[in-house]
Amino acid sequence: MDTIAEASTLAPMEQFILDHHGSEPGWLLARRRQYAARYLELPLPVRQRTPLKNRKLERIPIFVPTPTTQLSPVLESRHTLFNLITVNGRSVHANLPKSAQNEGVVLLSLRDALIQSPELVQETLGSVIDDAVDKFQALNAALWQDGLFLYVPPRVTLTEPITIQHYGTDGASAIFPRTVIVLDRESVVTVNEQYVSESGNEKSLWSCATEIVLRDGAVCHYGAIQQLASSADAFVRRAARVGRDARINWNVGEFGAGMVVSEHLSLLDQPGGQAYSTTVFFGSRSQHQDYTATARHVAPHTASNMVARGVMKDSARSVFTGVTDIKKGATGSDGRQKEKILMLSDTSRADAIPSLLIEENDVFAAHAASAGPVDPHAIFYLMGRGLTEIEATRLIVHGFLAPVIDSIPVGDLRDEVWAQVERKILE
Amino acid sequence: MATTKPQMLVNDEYQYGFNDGDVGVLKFSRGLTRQTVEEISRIKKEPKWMLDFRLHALDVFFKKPMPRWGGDLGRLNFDDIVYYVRPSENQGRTWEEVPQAIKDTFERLGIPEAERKFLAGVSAQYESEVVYHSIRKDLEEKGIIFTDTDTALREYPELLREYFGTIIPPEDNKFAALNSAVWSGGSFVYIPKGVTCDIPMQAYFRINSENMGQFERTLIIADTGSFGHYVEGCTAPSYNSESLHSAVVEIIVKDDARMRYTTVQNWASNVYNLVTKRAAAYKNATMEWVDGNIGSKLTMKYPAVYLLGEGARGMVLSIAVAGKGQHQDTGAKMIHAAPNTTSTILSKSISQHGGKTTYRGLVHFAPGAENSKSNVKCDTLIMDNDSTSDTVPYSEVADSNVAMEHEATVTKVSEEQLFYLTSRGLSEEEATRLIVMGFIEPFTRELPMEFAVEMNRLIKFEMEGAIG
Repeated sequence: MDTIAEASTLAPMEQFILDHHGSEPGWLLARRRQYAARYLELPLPVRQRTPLKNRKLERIPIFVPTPTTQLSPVLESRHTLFNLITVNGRSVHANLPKSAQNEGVVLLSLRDALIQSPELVQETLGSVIDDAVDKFQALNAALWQDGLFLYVPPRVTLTEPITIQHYGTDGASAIFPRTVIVLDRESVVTVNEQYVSESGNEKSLWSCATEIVLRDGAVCHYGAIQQLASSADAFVRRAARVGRDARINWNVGEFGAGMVVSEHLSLLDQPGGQAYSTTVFFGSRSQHQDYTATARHVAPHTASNMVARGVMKDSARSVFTGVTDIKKGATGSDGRQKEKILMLSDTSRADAIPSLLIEENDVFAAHAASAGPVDPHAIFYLMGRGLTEIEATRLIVHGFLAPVIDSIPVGDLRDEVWAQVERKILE
Repeated sequence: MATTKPQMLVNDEYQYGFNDGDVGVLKFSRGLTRQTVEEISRIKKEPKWMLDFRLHALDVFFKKPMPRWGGDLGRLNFDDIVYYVRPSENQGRTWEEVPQAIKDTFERLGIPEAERKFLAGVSAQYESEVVYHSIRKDLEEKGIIFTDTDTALREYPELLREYFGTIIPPEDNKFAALNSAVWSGGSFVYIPKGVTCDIPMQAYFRINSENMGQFERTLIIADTGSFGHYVEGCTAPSYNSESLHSAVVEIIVKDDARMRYTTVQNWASNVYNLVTKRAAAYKNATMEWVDGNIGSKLTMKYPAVYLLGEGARGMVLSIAVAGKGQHQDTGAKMIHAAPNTTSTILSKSISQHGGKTTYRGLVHFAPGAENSKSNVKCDTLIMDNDSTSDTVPYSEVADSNVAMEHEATVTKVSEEQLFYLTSRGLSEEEATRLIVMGFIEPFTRELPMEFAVEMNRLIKFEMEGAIG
């Protein structure tokens, strides 16, 4: 039994869980089994604009032991660059930045945290993300391999960003990272999560989950950059529960993967909570990208602002859905969205669905969306000044993305996003 | 700042809710079968092709599932509806021949008055058949055809056969299929090449019998270089059990022609209003939908323009007002399928007293629609704490050289504006009304004069009725 298609009964899946996770605490084993059952029950997610049936996902072997990791010297050398690295889902390296030592910060691989901070993991794992929400989320809940566990104590501000890389080697077909971040009262942290894989002939399936708990007054700058190889099909789900007067800042850069279905959700269920989100995506070749950003306002005086900028070239296809969902009772809330898409080719396609779902009258909600081409006059002007067409286009794309990328507060992430944009322009 | 009390924009009590008793001469029993359709076609003495069209549509209707999006259709029971009622044996040629009970109803709706003024023709649909119809001589002389669709099928079979069901085939959706199977009445308009019909053509529709489905079918052809304005208003008496109104409106706007279609829908709050309206606009043609939705229990209506010829233009200007127990799920669709096409959508929604408005729209740019532009603006006012609003615009861009812009806002009545107006001596009610009138002004401005007057009177009167 290797592939999804072959695993249609619970027994072999449970056996797989027992074989690979048998040493974990009882509650977690029970949880994995519960979601394994859920995974088998749930149909393929029906996404109107992303027909998953054609992706032949069921042929990807997922019940295979993760390839043993023989780290290349290149990978070894990266240890100093990241606080945590997972290779094919397994954590191979975790270290706390020097400046954060003696502050009571806990930075561990999630599996190590099961031993060292069992209560906190049990309390928070699955408390923000609904693991039953769709088939691939249930798959992550059942079979997650490893990821980051970060706890920042009250009133601690980490000056250095915490960086994570999830790395997939050629031949690893099923990678399910899971990250849990807990920010105690009034703490401040920056976390950057990066997804990279080697290009290969075999398709791989990624189902990634990150959940963030922000207690009262905490501030989290969360950055993510996805640059998986085109042989990867990825499902990414992120969610933050925002405490009273706390703030989540999402900066998501989406560049890679053959197909990606990515969602991030801000749950504003305490007064004064704020959620800001910036998504930059760049589709090229035959990529299919399906993004959803949601701000759910439940408590009064909550604020959200979601910005997305996308560039489309070749025959890429993108869908961006923004959801500002203001529930009854969220009085005095403010929810905004802005989406802009730059079309570089006639064979690409971009859909935008910026929706406002409002159940309360004492609020302000607005969205704006636009799509358009590169201005031919601008290209003409630049070429008249001696630039080639590619250079001119590159400048225009830069100008289009600069307002959002330059607003990313973390220098390293910002540089990495720019580097990805460069790569995509020249691709 | 004084607290803002929930304001009433449109009275929830339905003022046209009188009922004339059952005046139908021929009324079918409830439910829909093949026999029902065959019988409708037989009574109307229709040609074979129309019967075949109806029967095919019926098959499609049975096969299609109920839509699972939009409003709540759970309480709509197709077996509980009467699919055909003919209120009088013959179509009245002059006003005097129209039965008194029906006349009284129209009298109270003010139709004869409107006709006496400057309407081009009055085609008042009472239940399923057009009972009264007239068209002014001068328009007739210009060659404009304005008649009911049943008559058109007898008198202009070639035109019907060429265009009927070409813009909205029965396969389009479940309710278009239902209409195609059991349609009755509606208007047929043909404006010949280069002819300008400078006076609006007007039709009224009413539902009277309880659980009565109304399935009018309108077909408008604006030939090359012509211009026309078709106006439709709807009112219906209140009933306790649900009625269904499922119309199909097809419009063909040929090269360089311009057509405007204006509706103010004020069905009683027990009517399901599930309507498919679509126009095809060819080279340099202009299609304008002016669409007001005030009544009904649930409206699902998304006037569409398929911009098929180079330089075609489309416009939708709409308001939706949802009060107690109402859901206005409305919007617009613009399909850009040719170069240099432009479209504009302006939507204004107001929800009050627990009502719900949904803007659901689509702007699509097909490959090759280069140099096309679309601008969409949706504004919503939520008047009180029990009311809700969704805005769900879809945009699909499959060509690089296009410009799409979309904006939307959802707010309450501005406290600053209220404060300003009340400090100038207006009561809070007057101030609110003024702000609401200003909010929908871009819509009322585009109505023909007597409609705008009626609209303003309706809103003003019913807001006044709410105060005290």
